[in-house]
Amino acid sequence: MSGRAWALFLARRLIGTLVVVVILSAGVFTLLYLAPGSVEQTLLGTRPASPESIAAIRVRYHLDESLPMQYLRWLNGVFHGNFGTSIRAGGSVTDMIAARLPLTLALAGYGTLLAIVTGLPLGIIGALRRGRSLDRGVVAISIAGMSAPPFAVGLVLLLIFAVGLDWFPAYGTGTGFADQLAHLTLPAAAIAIGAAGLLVRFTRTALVGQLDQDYVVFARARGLSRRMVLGYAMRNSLIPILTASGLILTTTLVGTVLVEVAFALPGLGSLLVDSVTFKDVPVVQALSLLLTLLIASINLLVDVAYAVVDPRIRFGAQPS
Amino acid sequence: MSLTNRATPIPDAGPRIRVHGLTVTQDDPVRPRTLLSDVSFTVDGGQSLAVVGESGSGKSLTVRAALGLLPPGLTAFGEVVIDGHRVDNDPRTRRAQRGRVVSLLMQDPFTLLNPLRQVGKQIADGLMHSSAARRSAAGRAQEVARRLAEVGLPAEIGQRYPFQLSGGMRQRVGVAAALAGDPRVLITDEPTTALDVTTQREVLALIRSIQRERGMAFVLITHDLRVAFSMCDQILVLYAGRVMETGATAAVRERQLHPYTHGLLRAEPPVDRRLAVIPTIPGSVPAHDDVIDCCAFGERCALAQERCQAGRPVPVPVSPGRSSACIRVADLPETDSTPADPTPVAATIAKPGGVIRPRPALVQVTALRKAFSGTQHPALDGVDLTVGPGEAVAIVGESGSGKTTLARCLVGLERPDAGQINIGGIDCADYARLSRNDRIRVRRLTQMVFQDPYSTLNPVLTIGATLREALRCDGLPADRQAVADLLATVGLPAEMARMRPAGLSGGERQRVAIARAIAGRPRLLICDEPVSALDVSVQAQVLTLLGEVRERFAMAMLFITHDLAVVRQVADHVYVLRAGECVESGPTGDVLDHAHHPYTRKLLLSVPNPDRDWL
Amino acid sequence: MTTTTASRRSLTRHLPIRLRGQRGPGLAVWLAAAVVALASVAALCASLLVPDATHQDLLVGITGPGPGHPLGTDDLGRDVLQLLIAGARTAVCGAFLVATGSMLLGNLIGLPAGYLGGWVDIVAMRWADLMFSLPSLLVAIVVSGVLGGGYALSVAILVVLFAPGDTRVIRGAVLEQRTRPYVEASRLKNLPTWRIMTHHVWPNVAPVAVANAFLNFAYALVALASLSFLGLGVEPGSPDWGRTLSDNRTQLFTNPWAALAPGLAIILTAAAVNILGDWLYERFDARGTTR
Repeated sequence: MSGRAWALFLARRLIGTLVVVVILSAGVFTLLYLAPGSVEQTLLGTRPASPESIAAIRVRYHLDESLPMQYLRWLNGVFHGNFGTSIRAGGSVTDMIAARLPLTLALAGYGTLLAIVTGLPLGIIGALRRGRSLDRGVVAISIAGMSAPPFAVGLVLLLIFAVGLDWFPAYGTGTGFADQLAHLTLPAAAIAIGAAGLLVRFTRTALVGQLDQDYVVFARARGLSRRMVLGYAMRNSLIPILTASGLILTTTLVGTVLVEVAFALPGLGSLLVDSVTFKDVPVVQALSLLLTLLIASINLLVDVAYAVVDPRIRFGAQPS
Repeated sequence: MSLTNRATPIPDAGPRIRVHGLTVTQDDPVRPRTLLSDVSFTVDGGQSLAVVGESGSGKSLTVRAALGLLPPGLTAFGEVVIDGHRVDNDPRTRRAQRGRVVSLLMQDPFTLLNPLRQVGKQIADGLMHSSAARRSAAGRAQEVARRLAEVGLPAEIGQRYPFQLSGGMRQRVGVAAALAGDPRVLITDEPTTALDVTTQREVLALIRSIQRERGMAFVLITHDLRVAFSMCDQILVLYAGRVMETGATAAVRERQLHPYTHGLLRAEPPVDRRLAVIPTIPGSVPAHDDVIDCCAFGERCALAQERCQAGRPVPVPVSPGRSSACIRVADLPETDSTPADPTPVAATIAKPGGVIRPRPALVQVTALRKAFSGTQHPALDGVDLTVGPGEAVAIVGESGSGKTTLARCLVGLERPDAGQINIGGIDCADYARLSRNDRIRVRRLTQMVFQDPYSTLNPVLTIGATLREALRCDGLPADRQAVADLLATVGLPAEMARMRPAGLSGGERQRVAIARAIAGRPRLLICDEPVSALDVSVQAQVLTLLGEVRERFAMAMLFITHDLAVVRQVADHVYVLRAGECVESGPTGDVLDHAHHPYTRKLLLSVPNPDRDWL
Repeated sequence: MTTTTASRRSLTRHLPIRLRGQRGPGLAVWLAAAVVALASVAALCASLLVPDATHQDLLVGITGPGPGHPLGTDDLGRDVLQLLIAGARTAVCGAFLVATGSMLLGNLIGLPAGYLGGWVDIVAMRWADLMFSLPSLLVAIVVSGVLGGGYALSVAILVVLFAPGDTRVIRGAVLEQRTRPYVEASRLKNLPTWRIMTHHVWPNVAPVAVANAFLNFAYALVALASLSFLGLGVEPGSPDWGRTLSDNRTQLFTNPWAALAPGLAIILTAAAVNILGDWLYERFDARGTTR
């Protein structure tokens, strides 16, 4: 694909992404203002609601403007890096998020890494040994992983590895790289199990499907080495695995939120849950936007990966 | 992985591949089954063998088993010796031999190449590791170009991905890839079945010439005896997983020593004349295990006697190099394999230039155009067509000719972009604009039989339910008797009404589909390749049935096909379509005997012919 | 490319059925069915079996497993086994409602979208694409949290969030059936469109919808438990697997069974339903549903 075609492809996808982000942020915005219990009430908290104080709040938070106006005002702030002030904590939302972002990123990244390094090989082994007892074991693990809620897994892991074996610390985030790694291992593992289960399943199914294809039999029949034949099949399996990566991503994100709560880790997930229950409007908005952007950009990456892997997409043909 | 332990090469004349007593079973703990038993053959260097059989005969299993490439769950027994090494118990040697000593070309060019890799690289992947050409990139490119040239493709094709190539080109690449390791034995499994007829002939000719040039031992799997005759020196006929007959091509062509071979050859209709009756074999191919203790063909054989059911006949030598599994081989009539038909049907002996077509026309199509979005060429580019009442008209063409699109436009499954369609006096270029009454009238006038018997019936409905619904839709009483009558019309027993499609063979399903279509006695029956997915021995049955119902109900028939031999047998009038345009039309006899357009002549040449010089 | 697909199918048509992956129900499937049956009985009969599961006895407090209390009691003196049985009601019934509700919606939208195409299809699929790219559980957390939480709300939100997936699956299956000759033959017989959809297409799609509903059921079970765990599902103090786990996780080190039992119940039930769903999928796939 030429540079121009790539640019066009990326531009099209970027615009699509932008549209999704705007629609979703508007949706969240509307939802928050339609929610029961007026925003003024939340903002006032336990203070007495005199007409004057309500009016003051309405002016201060621009609640006297129309909903689209408020949304545009908020959007304008976002473009200037200003997400407003947290109602619950009173501080700048940007600062709050910045303080918690590293932990969540580390946790989610660690979890994803664990999921990939366990899920992919297990899926490949299962496919290559399909129907044998090893494969059945792999399938069983993947179903268990997919079925287990991360918070429940987290508890089981805590009981076994923190209480029973005392290999890892139970709570806290630790200081210094090695200590942090030790502290984050159990939560990351809890996140990884669900995603790994999915990854095993998709990898195995995709590879089994490819190994049955004519081109694999033909490659074997004409004497290509095992490594080469597996390479053929793996490359073709990548397409269905990429398709599944969106689902794996959402599993990881949901897992991160649940695990942060279960392990009492001060990340963005626990911030989201706290803010949602407190109706801390600016924080929820900022986090939703961040999430949407994250998901959209990863979907964009996946789209690019498709084009890299599959020449049919690169050359604009219909995949047959 | 070089072949260091290879024994000294055997001189060219010796046996390259020898299979003895090959049996394939399915390892099912509940119901183990045998799919193929006691198959033996030998092919010498430079020699060629055709393994001929219909679907379910076990011909593909035979080569897969010989190469150790059976799908999981199947086990092969028996001795396989390739290039002097016994390999059936030696998976290491077997792996080392693949590509270098023996190679397999598979059937479907659309699936046999890795869709994500440039075809040149795929060919290069199979080049010998030790060869000088493999070592440098430039050497590889040069070698790939040479290989592509061998199969008649320019070097720049190497840069393409499979999806950018036509089926014929892909199969040529497949040939080059299969030969990349310079094997001494080439096995091809129906290498051209998925290709268009004209491409089929080209690819077959290519394979044969390369095989002769390289002096390879060659095994061809095919369902078409005529192709086998023109490609190979030796013939082996399989049926229901057993060997029926073997012999040298010339001898088998001259006289078949098994009724099945005889029937199979006769069931392929000739293109040069119309038969009064297309010879058919009744019934359908049984499973191996259903005919274990009797002659596998006994049920369907006209010559069967009681003793044919009394035990399992094994192939016995009849004359040097020939064997037959028919215990009545001595009683077989001394027939010519392709008897000249003494009584051609009058309707086809059309005098050149003048047949009066029935008027007024039942169907009149004028300047029909249809283009699908995303394609460069229109599917139909101004086609005219006339079908008179009671007339049998064929539309012949290859894939992409627009023949199916034309049929679908006629019945309203596609909407043409421009042009007129008039059926029985109703303008139905746009079915959406028809009044309710007109639509019902047109649909009762015109019905269709589809290609694929395996999806033509709703799998969840019983045959009876399908036919009852058809009768109701055509405004007829739908009681048990009506269904039984309808089934009898297409030669099926009334009990079949209680069965679901899964319990029926392909031929039976197609009969039910015909019954559904003719339930309301339409005046035009459109048949879209109704026999191309069926076994040869069943094709003739269905063609005969279509002829019968057409005569009985005085229906007009529009027959869509790629096969000119079928056209010759069924049609009064023929239209030859290419790329959405009609290149030639006229009375069948005229067009087929005195083809004007080069494309028609090319199509005629492409019909396989048992003669030695077809290719 | 009709000739190609036909010939491709013929490659496997004559292979024995078992090769195409047909399997009888193995031991795992029977076990899974037993677990699901047990959970269903508990869910349906909880009020009969354990009428006062939430009975607190602060004087008893935490006790380990022993006579009278096979799984012990939690810090409020509630019997863990009784809580477990009673907890099945909200956990399992809710998941069932989500799975069947989204399946119904998916059928209602997916069938016409796939069969009729046109703007119905375009709108339905854009909507499904949008919803599909979102992490449904996170959306559920935000929406449910903002709207004040609650069990019925959680179930309703999950139905709406799951439906696009069902719609997609069913639309895809319908698209595959729509161009099959048996459907086209019905069209040529002038059968009314709604009848073709309901009598011909839908029965061939239904098995896929059912198998998919099983997989959804498992996911809904986990999702509802997660919402309850975060305090957004059932009322505080209600016996619900997710909620009980959340309530009792502070006792994890002193009284592990109080938190572990509901956690294991969730995992076991979800795994069992997943196994059944997989098995159904495989069966329908092997049967081809189309021939």
